[in-house]
Amino acid sequence: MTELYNLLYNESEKIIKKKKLLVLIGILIILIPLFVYASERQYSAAVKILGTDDWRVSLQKEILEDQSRMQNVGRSEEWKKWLEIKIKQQQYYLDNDINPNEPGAPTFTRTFIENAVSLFIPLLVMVVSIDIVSSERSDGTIKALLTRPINRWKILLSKYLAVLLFSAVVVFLVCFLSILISGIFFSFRGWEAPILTGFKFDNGQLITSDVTTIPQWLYLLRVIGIAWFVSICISSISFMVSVIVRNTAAAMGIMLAALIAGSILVGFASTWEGAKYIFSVHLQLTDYISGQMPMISDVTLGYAILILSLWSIAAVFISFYTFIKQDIL
Amino acid sequence: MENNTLVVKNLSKSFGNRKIIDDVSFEVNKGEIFGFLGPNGAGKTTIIRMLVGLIKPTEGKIYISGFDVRKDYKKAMSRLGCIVENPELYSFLTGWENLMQFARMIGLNDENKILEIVNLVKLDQRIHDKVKTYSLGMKQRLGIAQALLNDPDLLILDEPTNGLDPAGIRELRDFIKRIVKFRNMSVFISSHLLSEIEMMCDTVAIIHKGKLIKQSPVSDLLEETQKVSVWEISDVNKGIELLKKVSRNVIQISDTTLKCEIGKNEIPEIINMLINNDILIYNASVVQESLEDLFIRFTGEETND
Repeated sequence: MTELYNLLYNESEKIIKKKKLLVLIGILIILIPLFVYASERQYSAAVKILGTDDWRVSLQKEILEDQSRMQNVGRSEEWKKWLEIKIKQQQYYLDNDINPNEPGAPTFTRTFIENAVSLFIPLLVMVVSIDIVSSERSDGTIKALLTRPINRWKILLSKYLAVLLFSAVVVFLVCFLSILISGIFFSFRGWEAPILTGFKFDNGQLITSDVTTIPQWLYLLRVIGIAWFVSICISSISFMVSVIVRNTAAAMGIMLAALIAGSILVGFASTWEGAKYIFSVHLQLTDYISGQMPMISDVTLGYAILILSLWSIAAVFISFYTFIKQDIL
Repeated sequence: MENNTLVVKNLSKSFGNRKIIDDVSFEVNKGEIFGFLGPNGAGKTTIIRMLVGLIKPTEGKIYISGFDVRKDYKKAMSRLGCIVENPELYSFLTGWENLMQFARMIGLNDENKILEIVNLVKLDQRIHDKVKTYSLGMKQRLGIAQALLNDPDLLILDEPTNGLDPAGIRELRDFIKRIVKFRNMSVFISSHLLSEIEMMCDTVAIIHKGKLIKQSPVSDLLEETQKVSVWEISDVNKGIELLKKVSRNVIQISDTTLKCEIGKNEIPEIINMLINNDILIYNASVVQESLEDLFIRFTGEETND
């Protein structure tokens, strides 16, 4: 146990001393204010279009419209229930004097992570983990590492744990900096605002029977949880690529291609069934809880998680198998 | 077996159908400096990588201090210190951080001991600088320091003088002799330079095309080398005739010089003979056949170095 702790300490020291985390924080500190500024522009543009800056008036109007729609005969029970929830949500905003469109730290962070979960966060995680083995190989330090009285699997395990640890650190940094920077710019309010969730899809039909509202902080926690899960999968797959490919630049290229290919293939997935077995088309997991129609019909949240988990487990297995058997030339 | 720090038995390695290493066996005794000699590409590095557990042998056994490298990997490795090819160090860490990395791996947390080794390799002035600012000689010494952290019985150095300047080579040589004396360990040094092995080692093994072609004490090998005499005389043609009576292999090197294999005791006889035949002697010298020549004689090939 002490041995494993020492090894993990070593790996962490190497990751930190390579200053990659600092670069990463630098990237976030530059990009997040950009996004914050962009969403501020969007908000003020929306206000201009509405013609009124009194959001209470427009919200009141919306509630009235929905209520009249509920009176409509011929509508299904389910539809009425869905409207009821929507009215409740809008009423909450009105009662608590929350402008639903006004950006605050929790709202900004939620939308930021929802947008970042399929490409931006995977890229950051990949950058941290991709050279964990390949750099030791290209620097030749692997020879010093593997001629110690420690079994190879233990060395590799410490590297995998380090990768998992630092991918969690990346997710934490993204959330923390996003809340901090947007909070300073907008406000730190909006944690209790109700968010709709519980959407289901059946054969391309949106089923709203289980839709409820949960407070935004809980919703945000779920989104962060999803981002963390995605980062675990990405770091596992990057880890495998790092073990197999000797050259760090080539390894990074492979991961980059896989991630981008995923985001392109999502568009084809409605016609090509096979795409649903590729890990990188499933990274936009937040869509399942926010009620967006998934690109691939009959894929559920559970199915996407299953595919990602299988990929990760296979990646870790292949990593250990090749690393232990390999001749270090 | 107890006296052998390293035992290699019938070691072979094939990559696909190609046999890179073919049935190599040798032993390294306690406290000796063992030279592992061969031209580039002879298979030295492949054998070393098998010794330190980086490559699995196709056949054969390796024992370090009695422990089988494959079956008793951890115990065998705990008795070993090595630098395979270039010193492998983390250039983005300081020398001290590098040593701490390796110390943590063997569970060593006695900083005084690490300091002692730092002083031994004379890096105390620069140990807290980043390794990327080190000269090759300093990296080499830091590499040796990390190899000594676990008090090994056997130190394996692969081409340790590669890229060092003459002063650095001399320093390294003195250093290795010193640590062997003080720490009573064995050192295994590979090299493609015969002069180096001749100056440093007690025993030498010569490897060529994956096969061990000779193993003997360096002194025996030197004794085996033949004496050659070189004669600069006035009449070469007459000289050849005369020399052929007492010696084998008489070769004319230039217009005025002859070379022949001969023992020391025959030299006065030849001198008398030449003088009696009115041949003038400008110069006569006895040279020892170098290990280079010896190597060519063993392998039948020129080395490129």
